[in-house]
Amino acid sequence: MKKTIAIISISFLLSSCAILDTMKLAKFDANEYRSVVDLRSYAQIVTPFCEEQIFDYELVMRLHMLSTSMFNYVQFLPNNSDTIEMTRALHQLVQQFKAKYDTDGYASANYCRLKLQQIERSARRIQEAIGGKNR
Amino acid sequence: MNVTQLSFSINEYKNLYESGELSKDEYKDLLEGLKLEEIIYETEEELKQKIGLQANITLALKALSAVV
Repeated sequence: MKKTIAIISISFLLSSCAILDTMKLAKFDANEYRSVVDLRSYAQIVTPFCEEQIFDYELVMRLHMLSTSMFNYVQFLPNNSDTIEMTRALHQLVQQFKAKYDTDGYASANYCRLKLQQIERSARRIQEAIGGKNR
Repeated sequence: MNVTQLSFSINEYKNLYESGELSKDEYKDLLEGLKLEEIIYETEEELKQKIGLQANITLALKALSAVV
């Protein structure tokens, strides 16, 4: 009887380990978290500047640099597919914003504000998700 | 992104476009941005579920190994 229980328990343990193995998740990474926080904070800080006559292209470039750096950092971390997917989408949002200024050299105050809101909202969601990773 | 947030944003963009305060390109760009936001929100939900599930399995394994 004891032997049967032991066998069942071990097989349960092994199958649980197999499940855990297939859904391996990268642990909390302070640099990854920091890079998303930096991007989000920057988007928040520059939003009021949308109301100015000209939104300085330097601000667009800085935002793009933070986003590129975030995505490049996350891109090859193992067992991190969800975070990679989310940061890729966030980086695309920033690329859309930059492309608007690159193509037209101008964007309306409303577009600027709403796009930065999309970026900020998305970064906040990502921050929340990766902040919950196991330590 | 939940349905309420999504429809609020769509309405806001639509109103601004119809009142001429957003160009056609800008309106299109913002709508495309919402699609990307949706991807982020769905993936975030999935990741949260995985984190929760993993914690539960780890907990069960610890309890089991204490018994075995």
